[in-house]
Amino acid sequence: MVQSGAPSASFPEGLADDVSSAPFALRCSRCRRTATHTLSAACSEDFAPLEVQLDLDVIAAECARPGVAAPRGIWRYGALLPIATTARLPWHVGGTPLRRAKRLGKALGLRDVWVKDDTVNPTGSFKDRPTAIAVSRAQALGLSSIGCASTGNLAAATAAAGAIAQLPTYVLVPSHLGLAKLAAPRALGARVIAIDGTYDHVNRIANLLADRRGWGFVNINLRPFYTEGSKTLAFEVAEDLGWQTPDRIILPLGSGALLCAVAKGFSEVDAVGWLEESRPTRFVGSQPVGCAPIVDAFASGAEAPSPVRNPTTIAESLAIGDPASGREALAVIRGSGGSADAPSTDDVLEAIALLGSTEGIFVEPAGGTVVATAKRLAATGVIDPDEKVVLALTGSGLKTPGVLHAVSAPAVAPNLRAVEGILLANGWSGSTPIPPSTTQGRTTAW
Amino acid sequence: MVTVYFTSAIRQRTGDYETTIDYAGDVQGLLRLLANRYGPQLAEALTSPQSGGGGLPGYVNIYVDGTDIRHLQALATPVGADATVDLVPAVSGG
Repeated sequence: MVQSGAPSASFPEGLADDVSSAPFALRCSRCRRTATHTLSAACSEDFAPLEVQLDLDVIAAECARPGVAAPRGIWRYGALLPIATTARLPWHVGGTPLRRAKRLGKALGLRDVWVKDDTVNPTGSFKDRPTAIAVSRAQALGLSSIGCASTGNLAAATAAAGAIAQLPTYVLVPSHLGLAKLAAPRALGARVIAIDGTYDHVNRIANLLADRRGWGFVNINLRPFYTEGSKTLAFEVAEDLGWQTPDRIILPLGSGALLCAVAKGFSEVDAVGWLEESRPTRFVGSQPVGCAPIVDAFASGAEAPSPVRNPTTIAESLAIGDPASGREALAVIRGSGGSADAPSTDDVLEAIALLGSTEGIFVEPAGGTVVATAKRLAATGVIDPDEKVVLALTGSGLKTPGVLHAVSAPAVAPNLRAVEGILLANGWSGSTPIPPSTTQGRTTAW
Repeated sequence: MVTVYFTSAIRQRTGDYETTIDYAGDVQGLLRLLANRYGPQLAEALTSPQSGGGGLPGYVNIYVDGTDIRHLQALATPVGADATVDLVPAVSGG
């Protein structure tokens, strides 16, 4: 047996770029043909999605779980990633905490809640995971430039990866994004093109541009590898739970790709024999009211979502009206016995505050959406109080301060009396004030 | 002239990044002309019920002048004589 990521001479030739990559093939998810073009996300025969298919039998035979000495982060799971060691981007991504959330759980009436805190990735969101793999693939293919279509988080991740890889980086975003999400990719050296339209307009233009220029756009023509990166979140959850999967996991739904990738990740660690026991996980997808095409399709029984033309939600990272992996996400949710839910804006804002005040984690609205769904499902008895539930917190609230304007504090005069007045007015008396008679030194009346 | 842009796997099938067609009508009629030019398998793949159902493409998005035809009149969406039509694989982005 060899440790994860170590070379194995028994990987079949022709399947992998390098013996130190997981053996894989790029195949059509529908007709199973092997792809003839390496820089594409769709089958050239039926235009269905291409996917990376690992040779799990070989990996099971050759690769043990990662050893204790293997560094945390996505490359810890190199045995299950289709990237040769020589092409791996030297970027520390992943290895984020999975924390038991007892105080949040108590507030929700659940006894075994865990939060996967992906807000602490280098650019503040889980998007660093897929980007690291996609840009590594771009390096392996020798591409000259990279880019993405983004609702904000991916723009920063791609810009950072482009800086590390020293590749010209083009990010296309909707022009209405908040300042923080527009500023970060610029500061990281990317060439930002802000398009006057929705994310779906941006995505269409990026498709045409990437193909005509031969650039590697991480979530477009490198998408099969991009989604491989997202599955590392599942590997970490399983390992940090003692190589077991949770009873239920709640994930935000934008394109639906993350949910599908996590399902693939759980399936792969099961298939290669890394789990202590094989047990089913229910997948729950959460989208905000105002942009919930997958949730709506789940409720109506439709096989695929109907696109939302003009998304209206404070969760701009989930404002994808035409979810590219919506059909696949619906199949995963239904196949797992899970569900889909769309909380309101007020629910999302309350959930951000609840999570922050109980666990000290500040999330963007996508995270609030997930916590709000947990609250709604707990209140209605869908989640059993004893279930082991994982909540995926995928982006930092520091990126979206604008959504919290409504709760910003008014300015107070710079003197103690005024501040004490605020404490009194709000009933904020967490501890007994020190009476003047007990203080040392001279005291004067206010 | 109608300008049609192809990308990714669809461009791999046509061999062209774009083409122009002297046409005015609807999307269904335009696809018939594209089938004449590039072969019936292309139009079949674009509108296969297996890939989408109801005659609408499942794995391909069609845009007329920048708008997804699912927001318009689907395959009956009018295509003007100077329209721009984009054929884009559905599985991208996010």
